[in-house]
Amino acid sequence: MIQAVETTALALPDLSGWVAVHHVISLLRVCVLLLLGVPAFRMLGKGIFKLLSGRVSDQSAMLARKVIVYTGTALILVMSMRELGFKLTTLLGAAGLVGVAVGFAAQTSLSNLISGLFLVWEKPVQIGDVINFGDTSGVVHSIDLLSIKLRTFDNKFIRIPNESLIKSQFTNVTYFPIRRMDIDIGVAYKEDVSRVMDILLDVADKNPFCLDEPPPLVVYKGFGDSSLNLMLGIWFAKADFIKLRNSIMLEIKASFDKEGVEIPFPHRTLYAGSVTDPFPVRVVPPVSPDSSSPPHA
Amino acid sequence: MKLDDLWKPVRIPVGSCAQWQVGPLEIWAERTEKDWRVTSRRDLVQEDRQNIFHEATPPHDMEWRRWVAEENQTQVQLAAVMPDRPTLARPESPVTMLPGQSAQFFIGVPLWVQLRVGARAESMLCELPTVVLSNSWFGTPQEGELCYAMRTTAKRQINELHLRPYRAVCPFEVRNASRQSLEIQRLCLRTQYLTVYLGRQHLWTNPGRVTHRGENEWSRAVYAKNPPDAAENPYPIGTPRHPPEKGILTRSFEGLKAFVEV
Repeated sequence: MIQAVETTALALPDLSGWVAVHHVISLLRVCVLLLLGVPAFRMLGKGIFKLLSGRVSDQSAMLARKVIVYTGTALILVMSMRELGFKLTTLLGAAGLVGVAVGFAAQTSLSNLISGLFLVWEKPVQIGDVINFGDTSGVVHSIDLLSIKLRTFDNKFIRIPNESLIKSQFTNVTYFPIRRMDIDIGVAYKEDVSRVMDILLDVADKNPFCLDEPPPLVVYKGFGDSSLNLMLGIWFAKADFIKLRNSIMLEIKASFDKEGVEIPFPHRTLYAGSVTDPFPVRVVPPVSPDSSSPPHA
Repeated sequence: MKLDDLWKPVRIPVGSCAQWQVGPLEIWAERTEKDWRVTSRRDLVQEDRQNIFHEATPPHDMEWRRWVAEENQTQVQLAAVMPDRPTLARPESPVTMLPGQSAQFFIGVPLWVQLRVGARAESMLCELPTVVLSNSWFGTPQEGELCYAMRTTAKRQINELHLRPYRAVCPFEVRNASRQSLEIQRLCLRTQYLTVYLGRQHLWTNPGRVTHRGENEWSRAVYAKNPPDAAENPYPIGTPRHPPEKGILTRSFEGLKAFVEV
């Protein structure tokens, strides 16, 4: 019996070596696929990005690049699994079931994904725009399928999910090429308002960062607690915000000082009518300069 | 001083400094052993200066910029160019042109000065505006073009212009080829296509002509490649930023309404 078994074993070809070699070849193929395929798709994505840059918007070029890289990587993975002997039909069937489960689990991600597509399609923001979202302000660093990344002015990185942006109100500060800067100014009640308006318009006229068209405007906003309130509205190219802000403030102050226009501090008047006691007053003798100087040694 | 002395090449030996005065702008260029040093300032009261001093004393209380100089490179030359953005000019008062009419305007555009070094003035050290023009916008708040605004107005006669050594006269013809009257409030001059020429008495640019075809139509602007006939013995003292094109379809007129919201 033992002899018979040994005879049969000898009669069959020894496949273990062949199988091992086959596996090694498959593994090598998979390695080659992964090592060459993934970088190749990345390079292709970069090439497409460079080709599209300047022709389409930055986020469209970035989206095209990501679609190429992710699709290519998925393709390489599927080919690698097939090479390793996985049956794709079984895998796809399983993926369908898994997809339903993942769909329930990843509702937020899918919502972000769809919101991201709407953001790319609607283009309310572009890379490089400055946006205000809630308490956050920053420059749009990238627009991805799930989120928008901001770089704040103090160089922090902030990620905002696309769904939040779609659902809430945000302000794109740099959407239009020019903006208006509104500066609230208070002057003392004794001042001639029309003269102050002329001074402000002259300051705006002399500042090179202030656009002469659309023209600057001064609005008399009303009577404040301590001051007559005016608003100077000046238009500027969006890149000149800091330069205009710093220069115009200094120039307004300098012009007011030169023309003797008073910028008042808050005034409080204490009423001492008939229903209140008079203010106590103490009369003190005048102090001469000599008496205040220290005695000589 | 002759008019063309300002724009001729100058040799500045090592350790020397030269000074140019072009209207309000003053420039000093000093050649040290290894570097070029340049500084400038503006005096807006001085509008009629045009001087060159070959041996000037470099001022000490100013900020200097430095460029690495090539050995044996001692030649410097000024070149005149037009502003780097389109420039807006207004007529003295809004002018209305009836259909089929044409009108000639003269605009004194302030120069930008390039400081160039090398035997053929091939390398530019820096570029300075003779006066800093205010920014302006040509278009609507949603769409348009950043321009410069000129304080001087476009004149119908050349003798109405205050001719200054830092301004080049640009003759500009407007044709109304539309069926409606054209009210000109502002003119947009595409200064990037203009060359500055030195004439016998003052500076000129190549003339321009713009044809208005209708309110919703693009205007066709044409800039000549040659100096105007009125310039006597003109020769170029700079190059245009862009070579003149055959016909530029552009917006050159404006009846802009600003949106004001408080």
